[in-house]
Amino acid sequence: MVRTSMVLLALLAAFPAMAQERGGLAMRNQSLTLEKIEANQGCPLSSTSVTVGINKATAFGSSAQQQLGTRNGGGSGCRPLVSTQVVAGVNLALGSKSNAGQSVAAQGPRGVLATDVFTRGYNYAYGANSTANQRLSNQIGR
Amino acid sequence: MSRCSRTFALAAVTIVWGGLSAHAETMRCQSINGNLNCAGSSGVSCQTINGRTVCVSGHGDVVQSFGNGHADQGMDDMPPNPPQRYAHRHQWPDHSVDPRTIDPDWPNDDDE
Repeated sequence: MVRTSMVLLALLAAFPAMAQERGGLAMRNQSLTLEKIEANQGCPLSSTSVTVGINKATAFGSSAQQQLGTRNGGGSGCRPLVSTQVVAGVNLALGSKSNAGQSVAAQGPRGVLATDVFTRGYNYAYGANSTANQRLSNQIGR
Repeated sequence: MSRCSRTFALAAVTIVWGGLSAHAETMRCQSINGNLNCAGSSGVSCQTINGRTVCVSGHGDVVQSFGNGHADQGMDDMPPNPPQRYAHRHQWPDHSVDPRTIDPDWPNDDDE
């Protein structure tokens, strides 16, 4: 009876320890991850870029074109560990026979551990015989 | 108010109401992952998000989408852009780069 109780107590103590070891970030290549962290010494841990464009053609027969581009981080030999990229665009062809073209692009740094991207676009061809073309690109560096 | 003026006012209201009704238009919209693409009754709009292109026509006769749209390397498998020339007006804010250095398919002004 006493032996059984001891075994149960040992199992109860072991399960929480296993749960702790299995938690957290799962790393595919631990040595590579550590190398990247060590190489980041003296550099920013993260970088964030926000690229937003608003383009509109309102008059009759008008044309409005817009191009935006951002290259995120990676300057002066430094690479962040985490990169966040936001790309958003609003493109409006409001006038009759108007034309609105918009292109928004962003590229993240290479060699980061993780990248979060957020892309959002709103494209409207409201006017009679109007055209609206929108192109959003949110690229991860490799 | 005389009978004539009342008739005139009624006619005016009828004309204005009829005109507003005639101009009422419908918008045809498509939303994919929160990205909204809309076209009026006679408009056409195309939207490309990370390589996936969706076109909407207000007439409803042309609705197409193409490209598989990988989120990480969208430009590499991007289909040709809709027949539209991008040029002439550039807005390069500070800390920005020429999109042509990022996007190999970016139309080049020199081609024109």
